[in-house]
Amino acid sequence: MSLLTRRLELPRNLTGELRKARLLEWISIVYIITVVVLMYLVLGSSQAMKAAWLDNFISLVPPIAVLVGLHLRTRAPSLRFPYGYHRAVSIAFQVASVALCVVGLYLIIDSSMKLIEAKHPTIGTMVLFGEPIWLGWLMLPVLAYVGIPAALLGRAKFGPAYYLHNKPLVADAHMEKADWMTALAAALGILGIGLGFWWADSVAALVIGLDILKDGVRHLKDGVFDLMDRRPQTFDGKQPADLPDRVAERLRQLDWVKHVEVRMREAGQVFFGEAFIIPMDDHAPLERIAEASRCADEVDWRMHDLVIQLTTSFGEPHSMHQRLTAERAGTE
Amino acid sequence: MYQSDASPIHSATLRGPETGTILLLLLIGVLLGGCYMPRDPENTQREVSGGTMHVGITRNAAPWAWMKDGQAHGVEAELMRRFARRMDAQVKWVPGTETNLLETLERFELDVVIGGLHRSSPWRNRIGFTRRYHTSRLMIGLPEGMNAVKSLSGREIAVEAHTPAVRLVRERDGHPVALERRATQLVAAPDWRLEQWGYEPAEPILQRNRHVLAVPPGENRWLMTLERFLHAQRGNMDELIRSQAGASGRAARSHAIIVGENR
Repeated sequence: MSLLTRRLELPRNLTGELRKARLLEWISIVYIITVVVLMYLVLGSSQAMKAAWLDNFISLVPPIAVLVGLHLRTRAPSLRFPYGYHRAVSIAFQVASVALCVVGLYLIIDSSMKLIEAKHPTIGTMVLFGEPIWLGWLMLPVLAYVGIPAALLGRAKFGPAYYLHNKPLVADAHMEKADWMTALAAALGILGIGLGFWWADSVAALVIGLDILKDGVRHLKDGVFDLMDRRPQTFDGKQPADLPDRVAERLRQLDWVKHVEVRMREAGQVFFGEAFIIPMDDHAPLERIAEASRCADEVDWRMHDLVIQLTTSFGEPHSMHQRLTAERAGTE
Repeated sequence: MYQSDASPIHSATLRGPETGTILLLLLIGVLLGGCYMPRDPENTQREVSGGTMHVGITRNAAPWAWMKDGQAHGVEAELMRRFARRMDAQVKWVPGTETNLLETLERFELDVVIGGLHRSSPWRNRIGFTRRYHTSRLMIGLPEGMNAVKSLSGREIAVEAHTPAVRLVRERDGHPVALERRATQLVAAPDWRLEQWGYEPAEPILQRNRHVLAVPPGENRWLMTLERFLHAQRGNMDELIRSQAGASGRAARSHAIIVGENR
C-alpha cells in the first residue's frame, strides 16, 4: 500500500479491445466533423435539420471525452491527485449531459413555438452543377450519410465498451446508434414539407428534442450518482454489481477471517473500496493485511484499490451487521 | 470473469432486416412523392398558372421597381412580366409600402413582392426570399485619368445625401461632400449608378447588397419555379439593369443636396 493509488494496468488480452476502442472513437470524431460541415451547407430554414445538426454537434463531446479518459487512465497518480485521474471522464460526461439537456429543452421550446405560430418553413433551391435543385432533395442524402454510418459505428463500439467496462464508451455507443433515429425523424420532416405539410418539420424537431432531452437526463442522473459514490451497478445499470460480494466471498475464504464487510464505489473503469475485517485473533496483522490485499486484487482487474481495515467490531454491536445481513436476505 | 454482468451487446444491436425495411419504405416514399415534391401548402403556383399573378410593388425603388403614371417600371418589374408570360398568367400590380405589401404577402394574399429588397432585410424570417438574383455594390468612381485608391482616409468623396454611402465613407475616414462637378471628384455610389454616369466602378467596395424577390412563406414549389426562372435569366441581368438605370435616371430629378463636411 502506498500513499498514491497504483497505476492502472490493463490485462494483456484487453489491449486489442483498447486499440479498437481508440480507433473507433477517432473515426467518430472525423466523421462527425464532416457531418456537421455537410449539414450546415444544406440546413436551409428547416427546424428538423437544425435539430439534427445541433444533436450531431453535441455528439462530438462523448468521443473526445472517451479518448481523453482512455489517455488519462494510463497516467500515474501524483501527489496532487493521489487517487488518480479515473474520475476525469465522468466529469466530462456530466458536462456533455448538461449540454444535451439544454439543447433538448431549447429544441422542444423552439419547435413548439413554431407550431403555435403556424410558421411555414421556406425551403428554396441551391445551385449545384449549374442547375437549381430543391434543397430538400439535397438534405435527404446528407441525412442518410448522417444516420447510417452512425448506427454502424455505434454498434461496433459496444464490444470494446463491454470488455473494457468503460461506461462513457457505452453511453457514447448508445447515443451514436440512436443518431439514426434522429436522421430518420429529420428525413420524415423534410418529406412532410415536400408534400405540403408545413407542420411536419416542427413536429420532427420536437420529437428529436425530446429524445435528446431524455438522453441528457439519463446520463446526467447516472453521472451524478456515480460521483456521489453510489454502489457499483452492472453494466446496463439495472442491478447492483456483484464484484463487492465476490471480493467479500474471497476474503471470507481466508482462514483467519471471522467477519468481513466490503463497500465500494466506481471511479471511471475501476472500483475503489474499503474492506473491514474482524480477524479471529490479532496474530501477524501486517502479513494478514498484505495477504488479504493480494487475494482481493486477484478477483478482477477492475478491483483497483481496496483498503483493508482490521477491526474488532463493525461499529455498534449487532445492529449494522444484522441489518446488512437482513438486507441481503431480503427480509427488510 | 464478469459473466454475471448482463451483456448489452445483443439487446442493443440494430438488426439488419429492420434497417433494410425502413430504407426501402423511405425510398419508395421518395420515388412516389418525388414527382409532386415540393408542394405549396397554400397552392400558390397552381392558382397563378394560367390565371392571375398578384405582384406587390413598392412605389419608389429605382432602378429595381417603381410606379409612374400607373405603370410598373424597373428591373424586377420587367422580370415579373417575363415570368408571367412563362407562367401563362396576367400580372396584377398592387402598389404599396414595403411593410404593407410584405404583411399582405405573409398572409398569402399576394404572390410576389418586388421593390429592391435585400437578403439582409429583417423580414427574412417571416416570409420567403429567393436566392439572390443580383449583387449590387457600393463602390468608388474615379475621375478621368486617376488611378485606383487604396484607402479613403482623408479624401473628399462625393456622395448622395441621406444614403448609407455617407456613413460608409465616414467609417473609412473619408470626408463626404456634395455631388457637384462629377468629372473631377471621387464619387461613392452603387455600381449601376456609377456606370450610368460614365465611371468605371473601382475598389474599395463599401457595401454589398444581395437583391432578392419575396414570396409567401412555405410556398416551396412556387419558390422553386421562380428561382429556376431567375437562374435562367442571369445572363440578361446586366443588360436589364443598365437599361432600367438609364430609364430611372431620365425620370428622376437631380439629387445634389449640400452635405456639410463636419455634420
